[in-house]
Amino acid sequence: MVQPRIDMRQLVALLFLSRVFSVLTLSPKQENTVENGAALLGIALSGIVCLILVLLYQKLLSLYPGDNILDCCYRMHPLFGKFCALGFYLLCVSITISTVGEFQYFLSSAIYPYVSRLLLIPLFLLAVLYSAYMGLEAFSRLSLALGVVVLLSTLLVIVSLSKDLSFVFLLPPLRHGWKPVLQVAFQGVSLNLELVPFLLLVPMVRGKVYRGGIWFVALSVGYYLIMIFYSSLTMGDYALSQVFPIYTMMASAQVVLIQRLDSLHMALWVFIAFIKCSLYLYLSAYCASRLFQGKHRGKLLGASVVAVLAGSLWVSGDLAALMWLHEAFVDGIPFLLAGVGIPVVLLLFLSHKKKKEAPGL
Amino acid sequence: MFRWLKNVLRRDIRSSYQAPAADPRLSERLSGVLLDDLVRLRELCSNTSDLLVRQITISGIPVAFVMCEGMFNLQTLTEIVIEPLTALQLKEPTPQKLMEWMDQKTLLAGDQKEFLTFGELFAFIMSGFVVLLVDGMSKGTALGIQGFSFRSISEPSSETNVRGSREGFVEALRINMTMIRRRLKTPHLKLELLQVGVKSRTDLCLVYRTDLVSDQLLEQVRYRISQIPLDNVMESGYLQPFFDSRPFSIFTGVGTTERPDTMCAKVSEGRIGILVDGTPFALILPFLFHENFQSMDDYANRPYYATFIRWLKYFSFFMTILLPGLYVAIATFHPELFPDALLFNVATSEEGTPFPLVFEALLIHLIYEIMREAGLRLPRPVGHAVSIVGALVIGDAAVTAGLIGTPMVMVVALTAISSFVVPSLYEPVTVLRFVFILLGGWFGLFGLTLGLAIAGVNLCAINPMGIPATTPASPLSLYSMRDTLFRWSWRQLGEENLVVTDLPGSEIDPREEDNHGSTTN
Repeated sequence: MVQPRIDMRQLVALLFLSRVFSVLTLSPKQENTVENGAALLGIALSGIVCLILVLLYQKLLSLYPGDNILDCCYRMHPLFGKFCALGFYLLCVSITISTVGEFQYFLSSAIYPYVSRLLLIPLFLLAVLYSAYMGLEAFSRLSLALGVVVLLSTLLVIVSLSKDLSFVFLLPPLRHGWKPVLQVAFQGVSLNLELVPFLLLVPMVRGKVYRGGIWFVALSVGYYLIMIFYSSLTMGDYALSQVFPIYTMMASAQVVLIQRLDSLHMALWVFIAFIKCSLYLYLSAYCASRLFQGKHRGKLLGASVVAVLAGSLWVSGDLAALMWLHEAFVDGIPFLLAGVGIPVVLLLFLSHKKKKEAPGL
Repeated sequence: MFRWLKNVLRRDIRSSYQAPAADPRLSERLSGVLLDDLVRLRELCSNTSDLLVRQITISGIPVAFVMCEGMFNLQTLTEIVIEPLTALQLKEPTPQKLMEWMDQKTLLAGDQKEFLTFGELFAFIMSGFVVLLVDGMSKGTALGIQGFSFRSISEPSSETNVRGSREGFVEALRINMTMIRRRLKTPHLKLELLQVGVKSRTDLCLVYRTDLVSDQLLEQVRYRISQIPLDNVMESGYLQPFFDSRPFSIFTGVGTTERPDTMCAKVSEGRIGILVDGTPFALILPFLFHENFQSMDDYANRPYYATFIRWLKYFSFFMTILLPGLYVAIATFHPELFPDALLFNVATSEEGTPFPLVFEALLIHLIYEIMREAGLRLPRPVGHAVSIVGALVIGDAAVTAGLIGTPMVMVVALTAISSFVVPSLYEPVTVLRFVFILLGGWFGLFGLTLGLAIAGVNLCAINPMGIPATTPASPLSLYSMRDTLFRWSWRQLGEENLVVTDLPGSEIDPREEDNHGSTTN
């Protein structure tokens, strides 16, 4: 099996775009209950925690250079490796289902209210399947170009909305104490599921991969802060009542010829969802193939897309199921297990093993 | 899954397919008995009318000249070969002495080769050589005195430039080789002759610089050429799919050029050029996507203007693939994006047309493509007439008849003009335009964006000869971008040569650093 190789910048773009989808998507729990000042401080704190986690991953994966987290799991025990591969597979598939579900919910409620989900979802997944089939290099190269487009369009929105900023809406972060701040910080970390793909992609990256991890955290947190800042300061309390506050904010932006920027937002949303789903679908096939000694990647990709199609058709037809899936990620258990628990256990076990293996002991 | 589908589709073809194979009779050796060899020769070529055999005696030894009619220079043959040979008086003549005299004591032709088999004999006479067979010798001598007629060197039709050379490749391979050699007077430039096509045995020439080209790249190209299973190769386009990493992609990783100066510039970046006999279109390997937006004029113009033109080309590319689809998508699904005055005009003009916008767009672009194709194939004076009729049909009659709205005329005109700004991308651009019209008309901006993403992945998946087609933009190298989005001055470009195998993402091993690392122009 030939290992695909991507650039550090491509990794950053890939993870950043994937994270941006979560920023642009609905998160009613957070937006409805926490004031903007607390949200901004909480997000900044979540960034610091994520940076610490990246350093933890560096410590773990530098024990055996060239290994990713699944290789480390297999080093600990083959059965534990298989169990983790299955767990990561389920996580990747459920993130893809959640992404497609949220994407379809946005399209059918804000853009195309009369178009059937039975048309939108298969069409979208067909495109994603093609992308994942073309391989990690292909969609990661595209993500670098898209990352630049996202940053430039964000700049455009910022410039066009700057005149509408009203600092009256900016509330002190600690008005209700530390609890809401910590709540947002926890959510910010638990929704930063892109650290899991980071753990899986490390050996496939050329260059300074951990510096890439730091860049990813900095960029995503910066983007998150800017979006929250602008949406709350341009729309005030009105933002809290919106299902898609960023979309509403873009609809109110205007640039010379273009009446509104909501379509730009929609186009970006499609690109970002496409990249995110391609990444997780690709990783789900990768994790599944680890259960079969790295074989049958193509067939497993087909099987994964069928699972995602079934799951996303189900959650898109049942809003309660979609919210349940979303809240499962917000609650943080998947991230605590995959992004914190397993790496910590592995670090402790493998450091001990490495010390025992060291010559002279 | 895709592989399974591919196998199913190919199963029928495979069951009835037989790989072309060379005629085993052609590997027979010459017998040494002149009359027997001549009889066998006529038998092998079915006594073809253009085979000329003239038998004479030199110092009492029977010899035969074998050649193809119209392929050799009769004057040169008479003056430089026949006259010295007929005047020759050998002491105690034997076939061996005659051959020795021809080999060592005279110069009958600049390109003089010996051969042993009938296959070689045919290859030589069909390339314009005159073959000399001597009775009693089981080997022949081929004399390179070609004299076939060919088109004279003229300005390339598909790559016209304002500044720079007016010379373009012609159909004769040797003439093309001289055009390259005249421009790169370095001993590192190597021209390597190969043959391809089991029956046509078409000559092709690999052009590369030994100090810059990667051995791995060169081996890969040679290997792929050796594996081409074609009977006949009439044009360089026949070979193109065998060098493409993804033959089903809408974009290609193989470049073509008609210009010797372009070929020299590419070869000086560690690439390999392939000249094919019988066509003025040479191939360049590997060819990256951004090179479609470069032209020789860029390097002759001032940097700021070259950069402006390059940006214009990128803009035109996106406009030509997206504008019709975008217009259809916005007018059908997202009219709120238009400024009010424009929206009013669009609505007014579309009110009187009977068809949906997507159908209008498809119809008008289809008519345009039909007229373009007709104008291209017809004799030039008739082509002009077709253009005039086309302009009338699209520009006036279709609007007056109420078939299409006026803004659509504007869209098709802009699209048509911008599609010729980057001529090398015309094929993918035409297909993508129709696809985007359909996607925009059926699914609005969602469909258009999804289509663009798929086209992007398709492009990004191409790795021509192991180098990403999208490099140096992705994988990114800011230093190499100095000749991609921008065109820096020659003062900076000349500081260090760009070598294609050094670009980020390359899976090809570059040559040793000291060979090209800091070569200055």
